Amino acid sequence: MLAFAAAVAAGVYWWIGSHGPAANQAHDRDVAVDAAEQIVVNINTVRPQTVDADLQAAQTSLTDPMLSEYQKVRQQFADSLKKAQASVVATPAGASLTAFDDDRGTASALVAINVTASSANQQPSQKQQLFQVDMQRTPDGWKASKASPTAGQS
Amino acid sequence: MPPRTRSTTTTAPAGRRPKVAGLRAPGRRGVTGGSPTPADAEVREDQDTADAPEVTEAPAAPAAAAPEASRTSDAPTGAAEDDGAATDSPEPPDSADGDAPVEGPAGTADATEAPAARPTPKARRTGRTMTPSAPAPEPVTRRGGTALLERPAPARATRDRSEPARESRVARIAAAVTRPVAKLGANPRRLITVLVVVLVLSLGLGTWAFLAARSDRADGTSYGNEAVVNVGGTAEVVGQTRQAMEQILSYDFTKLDDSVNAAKSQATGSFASEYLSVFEQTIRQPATDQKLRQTATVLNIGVQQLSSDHATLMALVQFTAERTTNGQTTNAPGLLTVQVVKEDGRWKISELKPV
Repeated sequence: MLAFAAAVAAGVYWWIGSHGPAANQAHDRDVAVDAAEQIVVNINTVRPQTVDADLQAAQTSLTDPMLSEYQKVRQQFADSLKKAQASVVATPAGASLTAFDDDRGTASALVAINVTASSANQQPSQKQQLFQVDMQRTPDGWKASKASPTAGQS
Repeated sequence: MPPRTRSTTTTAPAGRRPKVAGLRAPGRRGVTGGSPTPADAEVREDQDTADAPEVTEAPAAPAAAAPEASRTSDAPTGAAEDDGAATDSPEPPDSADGDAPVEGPAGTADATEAPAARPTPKARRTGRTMTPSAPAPEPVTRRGGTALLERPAPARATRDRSEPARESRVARIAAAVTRPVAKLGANPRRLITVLVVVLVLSLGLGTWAFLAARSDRADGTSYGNEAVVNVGGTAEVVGQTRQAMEQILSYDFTKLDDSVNAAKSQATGSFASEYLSVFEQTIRQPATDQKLRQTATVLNIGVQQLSSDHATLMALVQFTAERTTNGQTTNAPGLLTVQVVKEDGRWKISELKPV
């Protein structure tokens, strides 16, 4: 009987650990971190061949107020990028949440990316950049309401 | 009532007979009155299996036969009239009318002789009026008599047959549940085997679940990571790491030992010793000579991974170096990945490197 009770208790312990509310939150947090990384990569990646698609990807990563701001400058941005044949490719270097409210669906993250930039008259250069991102959960997933680069290392 | 249940199993074949007899009961009732012998014989056969000795007693036979006959015919009769006959307690009137009186006289008849065979039906009839007092003596007499064995058998048979209602269903379910257990109980060796298997399974599964939960919590899977989810733990690790970084990475030429002490108390392992040696070799002298002051400020910090005794953080640190001789300052941000471990109740830096 004791062994049986112990087995049940251990099972419950395991079940709570892997399926309980904390586990759900942990899962949501991981989703948020991944989203933050993806968002920052999206808004920092433009290839000459796929400018419009890349800008569209960036736009879908945003929500207001940043979304409206972005839409205002998008066309101009696209034109100058095409003209300069600019290529900016970001890869994630690290991310961590600095704030997270699962219930309200808000989160802030610190995201580091490695950016390789080049253009028609510029040799490829690599640098690390850091973004602070404020996110909101939308029906389509996490989106950035604000994303600002902070001083990073080069 | 263990004897009874046991008796049922033993009389199982016998039980079948009375069932048939029960069907014949109405006819037999008349027969019983006239000539108890045939009924007797039948019953006897059944009993034979159970109680051989009594049957062999030639003179006792008719005497015993009389009450028995009455009883056996009784049970089915009772059944025929009302299946309650067998159930005894729940339905006293029936069982009472059937048995109690019979037994009373039967007991005496037993002692007396064959004539008892005839009185029996009468007794039965009278018994009906005696209803209330009946149930009590019943079991006693029954237990004493041979009837004990055959009794339950017909009783069950009739019950099963005529009561398709709840009771039989309940009984069937109960039997289905209890039968395996009872079987096990009857076979101690098998019972022990089953118990041992259950024990081993419980211990095995329990251990597995516990270890799985432990390792899951320790690290690896997302739910093993308490970062941000554990609000209090996150705040603690963030606060202590921030403080450790600012105190260790800042220095003032007037109190360089503060930084050394901070490193000693808030850093650990190889990072602590390396940092201290670097500090002594490359910072202490220039800092003193040039009257340097460096302030490290953690601008932003986030927890990537957190378990009970280990955490990984990412910190954006602003380094401001000031040459106090000429007031010249330089700023340099740094994004660092910090590993901290909990030692002596405090989070200590065990590794610091650029992202």
